[in-house]
Amino acid sequence: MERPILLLILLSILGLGVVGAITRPLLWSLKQDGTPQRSSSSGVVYGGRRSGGVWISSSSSGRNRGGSFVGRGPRGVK
Amino acid sequence: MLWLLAIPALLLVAAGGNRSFRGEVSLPSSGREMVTSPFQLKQGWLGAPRIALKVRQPINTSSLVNVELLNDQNQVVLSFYKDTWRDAGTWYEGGESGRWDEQDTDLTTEFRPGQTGQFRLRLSLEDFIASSSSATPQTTPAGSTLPVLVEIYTNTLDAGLLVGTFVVLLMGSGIFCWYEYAPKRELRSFTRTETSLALAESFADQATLKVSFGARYEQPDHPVRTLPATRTTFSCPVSLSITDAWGQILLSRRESLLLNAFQIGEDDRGFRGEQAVYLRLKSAKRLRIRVEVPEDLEGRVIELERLQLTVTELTKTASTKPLEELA
Repeated sequence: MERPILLLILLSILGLGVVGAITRPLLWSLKQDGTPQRSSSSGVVYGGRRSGGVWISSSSSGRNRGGSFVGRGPRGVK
Repeated sequence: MLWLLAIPALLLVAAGGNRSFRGEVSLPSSGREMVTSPFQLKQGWLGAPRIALKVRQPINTSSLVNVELLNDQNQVVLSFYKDTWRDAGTWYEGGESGRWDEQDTDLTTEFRPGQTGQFRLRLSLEDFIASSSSATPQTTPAGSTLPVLVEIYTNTLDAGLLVGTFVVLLMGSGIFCWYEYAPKRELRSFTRTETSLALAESFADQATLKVSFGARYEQPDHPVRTLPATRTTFSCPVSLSITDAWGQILLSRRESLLLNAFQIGEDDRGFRGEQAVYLRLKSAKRLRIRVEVPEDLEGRVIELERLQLTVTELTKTASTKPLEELA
């Protein structure tokens, strides 16, 4: 009894995982409001968001552009 | 069953996609914007594009790199930025020292383009400053540039989801194999004094049984004949019999058990072997399974030390040995 149910569950996991990884339906689209998920980027900050079909850049005042930035090496050796 | 795991594993190899564009842009410290040559982003069912920028950061500098994605009508459709840096120096610890060099200079983003089209990237540089570990930050000289490597990959797959699918499938396969092959019960018995051993138990209709028997022989304390040092195997006759609750013989045969030499301590050698037969019951029965071996072999060259019998009721056998029907 458990055998076909287990097989069905395993095949469903395989199907969902593989189809999801290939077609990537949850990935942000350029035609979609908002910004890409942070998980699909490497530490970048999005400078705006898409709303009403256009990309609206946010004001640049919020950026970290202070002249005091001295890099981020390992603290113990600085 | 386990071949299912190969599907996400093979896809993981191809998850990085194909590089469709590669270019290098030199960003001036004046902040002037630079635009790449056009590249195509395709909307399709196979994966998504990835924009990957690698800033070739000089040692002990930091900068802010702005990136804008322009469509074929020159409109900004996505913009992002990142503080990039690279620092190097010397570490001292416990009288030892060495160089360290660390950086965070990669900008990567993935998205679905929505529709196929031509795009370009517009890049600019801000706050390109020299930052020495000890000195105060200084603005880099006017006219200096920062090279940025731009790469576009198409058809990238979701590697995290593939790894997750692989792990969940691996665990699921373990549970499946447990249901398929796990023993339902196991009966064990052994003797050090007798030459025969028996187990009795009731088994259900169509039960699959593994009857495993093993014997261990050793040299006697006062051997009549010496054991040649070159001797590595013995053949031990085993009589196996299975009877039902009324004493009717269901199986009776002599098996030949191969005993292989093993070392006991520095000088003594022993001989041991194990063998199994697989049976399927046609109907529910109470069985009495008995094995018998000789007390010694080849005129007391070796004598019985231990005899064991194990009866395991299996769900399904993974062994390639044929199943014998037991009437």
